[in-house]
Amino acid sequence: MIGSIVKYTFLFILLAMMEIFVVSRFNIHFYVNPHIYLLFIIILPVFTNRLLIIFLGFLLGFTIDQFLGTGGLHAAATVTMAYLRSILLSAFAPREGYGKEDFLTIGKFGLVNFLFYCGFMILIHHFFLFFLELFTFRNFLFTLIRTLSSSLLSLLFIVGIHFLFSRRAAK
Amino acid sequence: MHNFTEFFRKYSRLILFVLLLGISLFFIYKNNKYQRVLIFNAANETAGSAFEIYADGREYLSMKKTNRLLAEENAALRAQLLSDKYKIYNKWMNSDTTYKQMYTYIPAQIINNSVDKANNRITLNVGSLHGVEAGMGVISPDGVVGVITTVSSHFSVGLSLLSKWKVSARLRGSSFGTLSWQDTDENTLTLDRIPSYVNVTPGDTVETSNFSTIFPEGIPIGRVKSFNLDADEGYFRIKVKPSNEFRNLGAVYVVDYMFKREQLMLEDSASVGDPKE
Repeated sequence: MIGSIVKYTFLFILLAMMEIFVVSRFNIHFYVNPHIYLLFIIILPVFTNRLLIIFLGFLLGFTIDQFLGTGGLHAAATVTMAYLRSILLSAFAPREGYGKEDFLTIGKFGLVNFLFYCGFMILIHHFFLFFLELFTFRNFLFTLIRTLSSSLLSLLFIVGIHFLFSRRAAK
Repeated sequence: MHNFTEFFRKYSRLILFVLLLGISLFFIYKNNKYQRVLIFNAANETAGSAFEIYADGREYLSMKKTNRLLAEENAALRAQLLSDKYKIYNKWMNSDTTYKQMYTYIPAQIINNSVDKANNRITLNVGSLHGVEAGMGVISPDGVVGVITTVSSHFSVGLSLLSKWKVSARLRGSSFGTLSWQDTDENTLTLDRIPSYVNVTPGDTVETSNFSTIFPEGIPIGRVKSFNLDADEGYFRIKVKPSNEFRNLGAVYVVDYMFKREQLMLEDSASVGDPKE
């Protein structure tokens, strides 16, 4: 229990720092705007207290906001994603259900299910983020294209990082 | 009472979610109002120091280019010195009472910026200790960069031209309009509300107008890239290529318009005196 608290605190700080100092500085293009910190909410254990997940989502997003000067933009997007997480988890559950102590790894989940679960989480997050950033329906097409193209790259990053982490954890 | 606790147990997640979402939206709202000064100073300082280390490295790598730009600007400024001008009339005078300083400039370095968000921010390594205030303009040797929105003691944060605010701008030597960023790429700004009778040619210079309390008159913004006529409204909509490369901002100046307070106060009090219908 203490071990996993330490582990996830470390992960929280590491992902937030990577987001603030590396990923947010890529500046690729308006339409290609990846984010990786949501990996934290994605891989929290299945049976984590759902209230805690929602709160952690807010805390993580708010931390990012403070450093990037975006008010509550990331907090709003991440807390929404965290709230909807349980629905996605049950939608993409493995056929034999979740084990008691399951960490969310690709191995236990199955690659296809994991990609779908991850992909939808990222889509929800990015859509809310970009919609609130422009906060208008006038340029709705901008928001949709931005969500799709950025989500693809985020998915690539997130699955890649997760793959590295879970391989290290398995050793 | 039992029903009450039952209700809370059933909807606890929804309640927490709505509460936290509400808090987030409130902060977005507050942030958009540029009232971030009080709350976020601490985070601003921390992030500022870290970004400065990063910027130092980048600055070192681009030193050669920056040196050249500054040398060019120095040369241009030297050319404006009175001692560099040939005196035609012997009685030419420049006493202190003839001219009063209207704008002063605070040199600064951009230590963090973005070009891929809907509101792109710049972080500068000068703050209230250097005399920077919210609402001051930021220009580079190439032209207009943005406006300061938040100030802490050592750093300040502003919005670059690539965000949701408008600048009063004009075509050099002719009509003025409103400049904003409506596109998705960093190389296109839009100049709106130029009357249809004005002659526009690609390559024309777009500069700040004399209606701004942020920038001095005549600071370049960019050049006309293309334009089309909005037939319904009778206005040109002009696409402008900014003269600054927003991806590579380095040395800038913060513009302090010294009469700003006086002008705004006068304008406010003037509207109070308007005759009522």
